[in-house]
Amino acid sequence: MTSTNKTTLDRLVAENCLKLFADYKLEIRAGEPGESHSIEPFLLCGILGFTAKQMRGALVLATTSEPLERTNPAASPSHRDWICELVNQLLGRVKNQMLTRGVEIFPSTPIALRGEHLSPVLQQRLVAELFTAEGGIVCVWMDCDFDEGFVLAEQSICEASAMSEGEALLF
Amino acid sequence: MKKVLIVDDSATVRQQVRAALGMAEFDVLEASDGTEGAETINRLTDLAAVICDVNMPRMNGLEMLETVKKDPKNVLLPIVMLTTEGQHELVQRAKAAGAKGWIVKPFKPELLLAAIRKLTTV
Repeated sequence: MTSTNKTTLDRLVAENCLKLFADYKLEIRAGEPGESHSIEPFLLCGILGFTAKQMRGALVLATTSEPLERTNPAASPSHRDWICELVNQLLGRVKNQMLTRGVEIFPSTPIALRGEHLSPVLQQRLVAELFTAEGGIVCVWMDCDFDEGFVLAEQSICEASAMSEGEALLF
Repeated sequence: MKKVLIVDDSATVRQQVRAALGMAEFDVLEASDGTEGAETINRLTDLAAVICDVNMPRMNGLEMLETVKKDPKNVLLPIVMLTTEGQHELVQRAKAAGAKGWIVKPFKPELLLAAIRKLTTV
Protein backbone atom coordinates (compact mmCIF):
# COMPACT_ATOMS: atom_id res chain seq x y z
CA MET A 1 0.00 0.00 0.00
CA THR A 2 2.75 2.43 0.98
CA SER A 3 4.76 1.55 -2.12
CA THR A 4 1.71 2.28 -4.27
CA ASN A 5 1.33 5.61 -2.52
CA LYS A 6 5.00 6.31 -3.10
CA THR A 7 4.74 5.40 -6.78
CA THR A 8 1.80 7.75 -7.24
CA LEU A 9 3.57 10.54 -5.39
CA ASP A 10 6.85 10.05 -7.29
CA ARG A 11 4.94 10.29 -10.57
CA LEU A 12 3.28 13.52 -9.46
CA VAL A 13 6.59 15.01 -8.39
CA ALA A 14 8.31 14.02 -11.65
CA GLU A 15 5.48 15.38 -13.84
CA ASN A 16 5.43 18.66 -11.99
CA CYS A 17 9.21 18.98 -12.06
CA LEU A 18 9.10 18.76 -15.87
CA LYS A 19 6.39 21.43 -16.00
CA LEU A 20 8.19 23.71 -13.56
CA PHE A 21 11.39 23.79 -15.59
CA ALA A 22 9.41 24.10 -18.83
CA ASP A 23 7.81 27.26 -17.41
CA TYR A 24 11.32 28.66 -17.03
CA LYS A 25 12.11 27.71 -20.63
CA LEU A 26 14.43 24.85 -19.75
CA GLU A 27 13.59 21.49 -21.24
CA ILE A 28 14.55 18.55 -19.05
CA ARG A 29 14.05 14.88 -19.85
CA ALA A 30 13.84 11.84 -17.64
CA GLY A 31 17.07 9.91 -17.42
CA GLU A 32 17.29 6.59 -19.23
CA PRO A 33 17.10 3.41 -17.13
CA GLY A 34 20.57 2.58 -15.89
CA GLU A 35 21.85 6.07 -16.68
CA SER A 36 24.06 7.07 -13.80
CA HIS A 37 25.09 10.55 -12.77
CA SER A 38 26.58 9.71 -9.41
CA ILE A 39 29.73 11.65 -10.15
CA GLU A 40 27.89 14.79 -11.23
CA PRO A 41 28.87 17.66 -8.96
CA PHE A 42 25.46 18.67 -7.69
CA LEU A 43 25.85 22.21 -6.54
CA LEU A 44 22.86 22.81 -4.34
CA CYS A 45 19.91 21.02 -2.77
CA GLY A 46 16.70 22.81 -1.94
CA ILE A 47 14.84 21.05 0.85
CA LEU A 48 11.26 21.76 1.86
CA GLY A 49 9.58 19.88 4.69
CA PHE A 50 5.84 19.46 4.87
CA THR A 51 3.07 17.95 6.92
CA ALA A 52 -0.39 16.73 6.06
CA LYS A 53 -3.04 14.91 8.03
CA GLN A 54 -2.21 11.62 6.34
CA MET A 55 1.51 12.00 5.57
CA ARG A 56 4.65 13.99 6.28
CA GLY A 57 8.10 14.35 4.78
CA ALA A 58 10.33 16.53 2.64
CA LEU A 59 10.79 17.37 -1.00
CA VAL A 60 14.38 17.64 -2.21
CA LEU A 61 15.51 19.27 -5.45
CA ALA A 62 19.17 19.07 -6.42
CA THR A 63 20.80 20.50 -9.51
CA THR A 64 24.13 21.16 -11.08
CA SER A 65 24.96 24.80 -11.71
CA GLU A 66 23.82 25.07 -15.33
CA PRO A 67 20.07 24.48 -14.84
CA LEU A 68 20.10 26.99 -11.99
CA GLU A 69 21.84 29.60 -14.10
CA ARG A 70 19.60 28.93 -17.09
CA THR A 71 16.35 29.30 -15.16
CA ASN A 72 17.21 32.07 -12.73
CA PRO A 73 15.70 35.26 -14.13
CA ALA A 74 17.37 37.60 -11.63
CA ALA A 75 19.98 40.06 -12.80
CA SER A 76 22.33 39.24 -9.92
CA PRO A 77 21.41 35.66 -9.17
CA SER A 78 21.77 33.89 -5.84
CA HIS A 79 21.76 30.15 -6.46
CA ARG A 80 20.92 29.48 -2.81
CA ASP A 81 17.84 31.69 -2.92
CA TRP A 82 16.77 30.38 -6.30
CA ILE A 83 16.93 26.67 -5.41
CA CYS A 84 14.76 27.46 -2.36
CA GLU A 85 12.24 29.25 -4.56
CA LEU A 86 12.25 26.42 -7.12
CA VAL A 87 11.59 23.72 -4.53
CA ASN A 88 8.89 25.96 -3.05
CA GLN A 89 7.22 26.32 -6.43
CA LEU A 90 7.55 22.59 -7.09
CA LEU A 91 5.88 21.67 -3.82
CA GLY A 92 3.20 24.29 -4.55
CA ARG A 93 2.36 22.43 -7.76
CA VAL A 94 2.33 19.07 -6.02
CA LYS A 95 0.17 20.55 -3.26
CA ASN A 96 -2.44 21.66 -5.79
CA GLN A 97 -2.49 18.17 -7.31
CA MET A 98 -2.77 16.56 -3.89
CA LEU A 99 -5.79 18.73 -3.09
CA THR A 100 -7.68 16.94 -5.86
CA ARG A 101 -6.87 13.70 -4.04
CA GLY A 102 -8.20 14.96 -0.74
CA VAL A 103 -4.81 15.68 0.83
CA GLU A 104 -3.88 19.15 2.08
CA ILE A 105 -0.15 19.76 2.43
CA PHE A 106 1.27 22.40 4.76
CA PRO A 107 4.81 23.39 3.71
CA SER A 108 7.48 24.77 6.00
CA THR A 109 10.19 27.23 4.95
CA PRO A 110 12.70 25.95 2.36
CA ILE A 111 16.39 25.62 3.11
CA ALA A 112 19.36 25.20 0.80
CA LEU A 113 22.25 22.80 1.25
CA ARG A 114 25.43 23.55 -0.65
CA GLY A 115 28.07 20.93 -1.28
CA GLU A 116 30.38 19.28 -3.73
CA HIS A 117 29.28 16.00 -5.31
CA LEU A 118 26.00 15.92 -3.44
CA SER A 119 24.10 12.75 -4.14
CA PRO A 120 21.01 11.09 -2.69
CA VAL A 121 21.64 7.97 -0.66
CA LEU A 122 19.22 5.66 -2.38
CA GLN A 123 17.36 3.29 -0.15
CA GLN A 124 14.92 0.70 -1.37
CA ARG A 125 11.93 2.93 -0.74
CA LEU A 126 13.58 6.20 -1.67
CA VAL A 127 13.94 6.64 -5.40
CA ALA A 128 15.35 9.80 -6.89
CA GLU A 129 14.11 10.98 -10.26
CA LEU A 130 16.95 12.14 -12.46
CA PHE A 131 16.47 14.54 -15.35
CA THR A 132 18.93 15.59 -17.96
CA ALA A 133 18.92 19.25 -18.89
CA GLU A 134 21.01 20.99 -21.51
CA GLY A 135 24.35 21.27 -19.78
CA GLY A 136 23.37 19.76 -16.47
CA ILE A 137 21.39 17.44 -14.26
CA VAL A 138 18.26 17.95 -12.18
CA CYS A 139 17.39 15.46 -9.47
CA VAL A 140 14.27 15.37 -7.35
CA TRP A 141 12.97 13.08 -4.68
CA MET A 142 10.22 13.00 -2.10
CA ASP A 143 11.00 11.35 1.20
CA CYS A 144 7.83 10.79 3.20
CA ASP A 145 5.88 8.56 5.52
CA PHE A 146 2.20 7.73 5.22
CA ASP A 147 -0.23 6.93 7.98
CA GLU A 148 -1.07 3.27 8.35
CA GLY A 149 -3.96 2.38 6.07
CA PHE A 150 -3.86 5.61 4.07
CA VAL A 151 -4.30 5.13 0.33
CA LEU A 152 -3.36 7.98 -1.98
CA ALA A 153 -5.69 8.08 -4.98
CA GLU A 154 -3.79 7.49 -8.20
CA GLN A 155 -6.02 9.96 -10.05
CA SER A 156 -8.02 13.03 -9.02
CA ILE A 157 -11.08 12.17 -6.97
CA CYS A 158 -12.56 15.64 -6.63
CA GLU A 159 -12.72 18.91 -8.53
CA ALA A 160 -9.60 21.01 -8.23
CA SER A 161 -10.35 23.88 -5.91
CA ALA A 162 -7.09 25.60 -6.67
CA MET A 163 -5.91 28.21 -9.16
CA SER A 164 -3.35 27.08 -11.71
CA GLU A 165 0.26 28.21 -11.99
CA GLY A 166 0.52 31.56 -13.75
CA GLU A 167 -3.17 32.31 -13.26
CA ALA A 168 -4.16 35.78 -12.04
CA LEU A 169 -7.38 36.90 -10.45
CA LEU A 170 -8.36 40.46 -9.63
CA PHE A 171 -11.21 41.01 -7.17
CA MET B 1 6.85 57.69 -9.56
CA LYS B 2 4.29 55.49 -7.82
CA LYS B 3 5.72 53.35 -5.04
CA VAL B 4 5.02 49.62 -5.04
CA LEU B 5 6.16 47.38 -2.18
CA ILE B 6 7.07 43.74 -2.86
CA VAL B 7 7.01 41.49 0.23
CA ASP B 8 8.67 38.13 -0.42
CA ASP B 9 11.32 36.12 1.41
CA SER B 10 12.96 35.23 -1.90
CA ALA B 11 15.40 37.88 -3.10
CA THR B 12 15.16 36.36 -6.58
CA VAL B 13 11.40 36.86 -6.71
CA ARG B 14 11.82 40.42 -5.46
CA GLN B 15 14.29 41.01 -8.28
CA GLN B 16 11.87 39.47 -10.77
CA VAL B 17 9.12 41.80 -9.64
CA ARG B 18 11.49 44.75 -9.70
CA ALA B 19 12.42 43.84 -13.28
CA ALA B 20 8.76 43.52 -14.26
CA LEU B 21 7.68 46.83 -12.72
CA GLY B 22 10.85 48.85 -12.37
CA MET B 23 11.35 49.36 -16.10
CA ALA B 24 7.96 51.01 -16.21
CA GLU B 25 6.59 53.75 -14.07
CA PHE B 26 7.06 52.26 -10.60
CA ASP B 27 9.51 52.78 -7.78
CA VAL B 28 9.81 49.29 -6.26
CA LEU B 29 10.50 48.90 -2.53
CA GLU B 30 11.29 45.58 -0.87
CA ALA B 31 10.51 43.72 2.36
CA SER B 32 11.57 40.15 3.12
CA ASP B 33 8.74 38.95 5.35
CA GLY B 34 5.33 39.93 6.68
CA THR B 35 6.69 41.68 9.75
CA GLU B 36 8.99 43.90 7.71
CA GLY B 37 6.21 44.40 5.16
CA ALA B 38 3.71 45.55 7.80
CA GLU B 39 6.28 47.92 9.31
CA THR B 40 6.97 49.45 5.88
CA ILE B 41 3.27 49.82 5.09
CA ASN B 42 2.61 51.47 8.45
CA ARG B 43 5.60 53.80 8.08
CA LEU B 44 4.87 55.04 4.55
CA THR B 45 1.85 57.09 3.54
CA ASP B 46 2.40 57.17 -0.20
CA LEU B 47 2.41 53.50 -1.24
CA ALA B 48 0.40 52.92 -4.44
CA ALA B 49 0.21 49.11 -4.11
CA VAL B 50 1.65 46.08 -2.35
CA ILE B 51 2.54 42.69 -3.82
CA CYS B 52 2.80 40.01 -1.14
CA ASP B 53 3.85 36.36 -0.91
CA VAL B 54 1.91 34.03 1.41
CA ASN B 55 4.40 31.54 2.87
CA MET B 56 7.10 33.54 4.63
CA PRO B 57 8.97 33.31 7.94
CA ARG B 58 8.06 35.41 11.01
CA MET B 59 4.69 36.62 9.66
CA ASN B 60 3.01 35.08 6.61
CA GLY B 61 1.36 37.15 3.90
CA LEU B 62 -2.22 36.50 4.93
CA GLU B 63 -1.48 37.50 8.51
CA MET B 64 0.22 40.64 7.22
CA LEU B 65 -2.75 41.43 5.00
CA GLU B 66 -5.22 40.99 7.85
CA THR B 67 -3.04 43.05 10.20
CA VAL B 68 -2.52 46.07 7.94
CA LYS B 69 -6.11 46.13 6.72
CA LYS B 70 -7.30 46.69 10.30
CA ASP B 71 -5.73 50.16 10.10
CA PRO B 72 -8.21 52.57 8.45
CA LYS B 73 -5.37 54.30 6.58
CA ASN B 74 -4.73 51.10 4.61
CA VAL B 75 -8.31 50.29 3.64
CA LEU B 76 -7.89 51.63 0.11
CA LEU B 77 -4.32 50.34 -0.37
CA PRO B 78 -4.41 47.67 -3.12
CA ILE B 79 -2.68 44.45 -2.01
CA VAL B 80 -2.13 41.60 -4.47
CA MET B 81 -1.03 38.17 -3.26
CA LEU B 82 1.75 36.52 -5.33
CA THR B 83 2.31 32.93 -4.20
CA THR B 84 2.68 29.27 -5.09
CA GLU B 85 -0.59 28.67 -3.23
CA GLY B 86 -3.73 28.39 -5.31
CA GLN B 87 -6.15 26.93 -2.81
CA HIS B 88 -9.65 28.37 -3.11
CA GLU B 89 -10.09 28.76 0.67
CA LEU B 90 -6.93 30.86 0.92
CA VAL B 91 -7.98 33.02 -2.04
CA GLN B 92 -11.34 33.62 -0.39
CA ARG B 93 -9.68 34.43 2.93
CA ALA B 94 -7.49 37.02 1.21
CA LYS B 95 -10.46 38.50 -0.62
CA ALA B 96 -12.45 38.73 2.61
CA ALA B 97 -9.52 40.48 4.28
CA GLY B 98 -9.41 43.11 1.56
CA ALA B 99 -6.89 41.83 -1.00
CA LYS B 100 -7.42 43.07 -4.55
CA GLY B 101 -5.93 40.12 -6.40
CA TRP B 102 -4.24 36.72 -6.35
CA ILE B 103 -1.51 35.56 -8.74
CA VAL B 104 -0.03 32.05 -8.71
CA LYS B 105 3.74 31.70 -9.29
CA PRO B 106 5.49 31.51 -11.62
CA PHE B 107 4.03 34.80 -12.78
CA LYS B 108 3.98 36.34 -16.22
CA PRO B 109 5.70 39.75 -15.95
CA GLU B 110 3.33 41.45 -18.40
CA LEU B 111 0.34 40.14 -16.46
CA LEU B 112 1.69 41.41 -13.15
CA LEU B 113 2.45 44.80 -14.68
CA ALA B 114 -1.05 45.04 -16.16
CA ALA B 115 -2.61 44.15 -12.81
CA ILE B 116 -0.60 46.73 -10.89
CA ARG B 117 -1.23 49.38 -13.53
CA LYS B 118 -4.96 48.71 -13.29
CA LEU B 119 -5.01 48.80 -9.50
CA THR B 120 -2.97 51.97 -9.25
CA THR B 121 -4.90 53.94 -11.85
CA VAL B 122 -7.24 56.33 -10.08
